[in-house]
Amino acid sequence: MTWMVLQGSDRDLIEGCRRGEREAFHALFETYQDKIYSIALRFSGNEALAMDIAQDTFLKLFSSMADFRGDSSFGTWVYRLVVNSCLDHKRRSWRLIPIADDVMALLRAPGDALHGLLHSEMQGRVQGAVEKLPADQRIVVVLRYTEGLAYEEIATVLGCSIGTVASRLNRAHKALGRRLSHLKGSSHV
Amino acid sequence: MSDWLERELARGLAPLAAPANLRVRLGFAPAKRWEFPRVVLAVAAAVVLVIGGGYAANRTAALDLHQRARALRDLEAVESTSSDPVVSVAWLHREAGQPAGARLLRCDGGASVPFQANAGKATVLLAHAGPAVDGHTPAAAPDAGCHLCHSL
Repeated sequence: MTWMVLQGSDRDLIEGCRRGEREAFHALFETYQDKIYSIALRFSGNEALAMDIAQDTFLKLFSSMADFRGDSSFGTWVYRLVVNSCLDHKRRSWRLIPIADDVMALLRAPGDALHGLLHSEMQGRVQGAVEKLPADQRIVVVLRYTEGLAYEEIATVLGCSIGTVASRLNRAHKALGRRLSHLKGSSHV
Repeated sequence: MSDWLERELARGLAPLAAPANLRVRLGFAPAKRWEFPRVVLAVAAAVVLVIGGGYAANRTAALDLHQRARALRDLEAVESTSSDPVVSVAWLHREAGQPAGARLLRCDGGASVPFQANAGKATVLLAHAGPAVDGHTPAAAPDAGCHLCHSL
């Protein structure tokens, strides 16, 4: 988790944000936008909702910069903000299915169209199965597989024990294994 | 947990690039100005050209008709002139009998009315009696031609 280490440039950025410098906010946004959006999208499974969560996270980040005391690493603090935004956001009862976007992305993708279609289908099934997990298991799975965090790092972000993280991941794996087992073999294309 | 599930989770939940719109929503980039689709502009221009061309062609034909009517008048081949539609209709009925199938082709200053005269066909050309004008004109009897045609 090297990016979580508060580097000298990060410290400069934070100080710049505290002084209200627009360039510092912009640089912070450029640094974290992909991570925050990815976690939001993988957790919510909805692009529009992910945009809302990412926007909320950045607004909280910018407005509460003065509250960051450096007790934890800055990256861990950012993770906590986005995790809280994810958990706070009420799931909507409907889900947008960006069919047109998927089709356009598939058409633009190089290589074998069938391979792309199957890969896209598989990704969709995995995302759908993850969405059915309880929120506490889902966020652990997202931090583990989207961000590649270790158990210890996830425990730090969520403020729980490593055993709790392991237990949630274990239950999530079992549930996902049951839901996705029928697709085993279909992804080798 | 199987390697297969581990691999599929890593692939299915891989990180993504944030859309450019997030930058706009947070005020780090200006909102893209809405631009009128160029294809629509091209189609609209083509439609305008077609309509304008058709109108110009009709205008030319209308002027020709007007000139033909005036030429007839100048040759003193006109059998009847009147700005009174009642007189003109009476003349038509007297000379050609009950008009059948008459219909107005155009009514834009000079008009032509195809006419069934006994067993033959004829065309009645209508034009204002004054100087050549384009379209209807507020002359002494500006709507004479219209009244004539529409009373047939």
